[in-house]
Amino acid sequence: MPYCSHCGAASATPDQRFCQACGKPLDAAAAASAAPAAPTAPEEIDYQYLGAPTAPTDQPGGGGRRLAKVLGATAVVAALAGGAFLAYTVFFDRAGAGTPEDAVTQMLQAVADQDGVEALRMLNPGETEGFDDVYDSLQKKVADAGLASDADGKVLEAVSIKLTDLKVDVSERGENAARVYIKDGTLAVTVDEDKLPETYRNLYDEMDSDARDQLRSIDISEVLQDGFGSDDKVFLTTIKQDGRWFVSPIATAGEYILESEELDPLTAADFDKVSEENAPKPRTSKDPQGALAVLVEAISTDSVENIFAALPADEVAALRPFTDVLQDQLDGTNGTDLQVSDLDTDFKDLGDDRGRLTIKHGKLSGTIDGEEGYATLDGTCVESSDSPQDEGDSGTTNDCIPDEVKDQTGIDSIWVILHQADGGWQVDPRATVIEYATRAIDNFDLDAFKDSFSQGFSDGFEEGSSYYEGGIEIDPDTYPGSSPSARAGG
Amino acid sequence: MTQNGHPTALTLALSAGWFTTGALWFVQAVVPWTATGSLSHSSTIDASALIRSGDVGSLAPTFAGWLLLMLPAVGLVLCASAFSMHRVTQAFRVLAAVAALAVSVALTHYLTGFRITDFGPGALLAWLGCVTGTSLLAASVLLPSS
Repeated sequence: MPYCSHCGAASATPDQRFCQACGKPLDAAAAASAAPAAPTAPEEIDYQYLGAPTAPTDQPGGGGRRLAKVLGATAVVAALAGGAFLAYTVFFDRAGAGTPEDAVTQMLQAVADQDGVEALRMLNPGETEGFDDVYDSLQKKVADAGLASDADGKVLEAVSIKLTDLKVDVSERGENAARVYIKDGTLAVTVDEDKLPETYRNLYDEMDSDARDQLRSIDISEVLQDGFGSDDKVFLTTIKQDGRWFVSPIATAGEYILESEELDPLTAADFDKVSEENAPKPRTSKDPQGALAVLVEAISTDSVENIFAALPADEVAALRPFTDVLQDQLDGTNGTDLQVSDLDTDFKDLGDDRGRLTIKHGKLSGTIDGEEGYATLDGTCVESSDSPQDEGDSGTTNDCIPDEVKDQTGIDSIWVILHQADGGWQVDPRATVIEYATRAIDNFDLDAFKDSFSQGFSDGFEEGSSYYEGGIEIDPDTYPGSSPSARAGG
Repeated sequence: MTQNGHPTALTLALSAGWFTTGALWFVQAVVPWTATGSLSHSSTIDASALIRSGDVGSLAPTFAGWLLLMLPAVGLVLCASAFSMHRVTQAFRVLAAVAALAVSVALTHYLTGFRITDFGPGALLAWLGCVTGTSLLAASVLLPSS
């Protein structure tokens, strides 16, 4: 039976010239042909199920094939669009947020819901890189010591925090920065006692019911009023990087410092300097051993720009807005002129353009704020004096890392972490701090700490001795009957 | 399921089912996966980007970031080949269903501990995809054509 080549409908007679279904002219060759046979040559996309045909349905075969082709083509187009989207997300990560308020609210919501991924995505990447090492060490240590809710070290699994009705207010700081004030919201903390590790359960049991009720609904505006006397005191500073907004812990800290110094952040900080276009050319050393000398030399120029240039660019990006105010502080001193000499170092490549420079011996001499000083590092001991003649005399002080600290932290040498930039080496302060912190956490005996902590808590407090409540020292002599043991005993 | 070599309504329905399954496995990657905790505000694609950036290198190896992209990529291939009944496509669907199940089990265990109350949109979509995918595989085995 002939079929229409347009819609696939069967024609009533072999000599029919127009399709009765769609009205289109019937192609002579096609109309004369028999019903489409199973394809003999393999197609790129074969729309035929393999196997025996089933009983015919009401659907005309040709029409179904045409529909399948249309649907198949649509599916391929849809998949290609999805593929383009996937490729875009792979090659152009859209971390951060479109606006400063979104960056802050999304980060706070993520923190409340314990979504570390989202919280990290809202933080300025240059300021957070490497802290996962510290977190990982801490998590393992806490899990090993039985202080976590589960074996993965999720300490807060027993605690559910909900942040709702968060209200923020934005104050712009030029094109590349904005201060976001926390104005209002409700924080609800609920604790699943069954999931709490035993150590915490004891603490939680000690809490009175009023305190537990208060935790269930905390009015943020009330807390701000009670704690700071105003709702325009608590803020986070956001900065714009590559067109996206990120919360910047360093810029936030910088702005708080400016406020505490009673400096006007609007005039003291220049947030247009956040842009990498204004970044100074890196000051580096060709060999790792010279990186310390490059940093000391930069410090000796008394130029904040030069000091920043001797440090990793992404780490100082958030500090650049404060260049002028820092320079003013530096200009108010009598200058710094330091030299490094007699360095005996050991370098170990850590991969990823990083390396550890262990300083076995070295001398630092010169003036800081006009004051002369000399220091000699030998192993883990520093000998310092205010004149070279004092070396070995009574005016010399000798400080070493105590053995118990070495045992507790595993830090038995002095090192700095270096980072490769612009074909040379620079001291990386953030990576250095992270390396020390990670080593210390890994070696810290948390079990002993936990035991003494639990023991101290269960023993209560000696009558007559002071104790701390909410960060305030309470003297039982002044407030008789106020100590935990007195209250527990009625 | 064919009439003289032409797809029937049932064939098209099964194909539409595979398209839906692929779409579910793709969409689960762009919505929050859990209701609380990790990935409650972010998607597996976000997590993949963070892991691949190396910023959480000590918590998850870089290849894990690429693994997280496997399910949406498999979903897209399923969508593209939904109306194909080629033998290779059939085999791919079996592998895709097995891989999707494995990924869904691993993610659900790691992120929610299989607590249904912690399931977010992503987890629900992924599991819905697993249910439809395995149902379609079962249908292709049980129906007369196979």
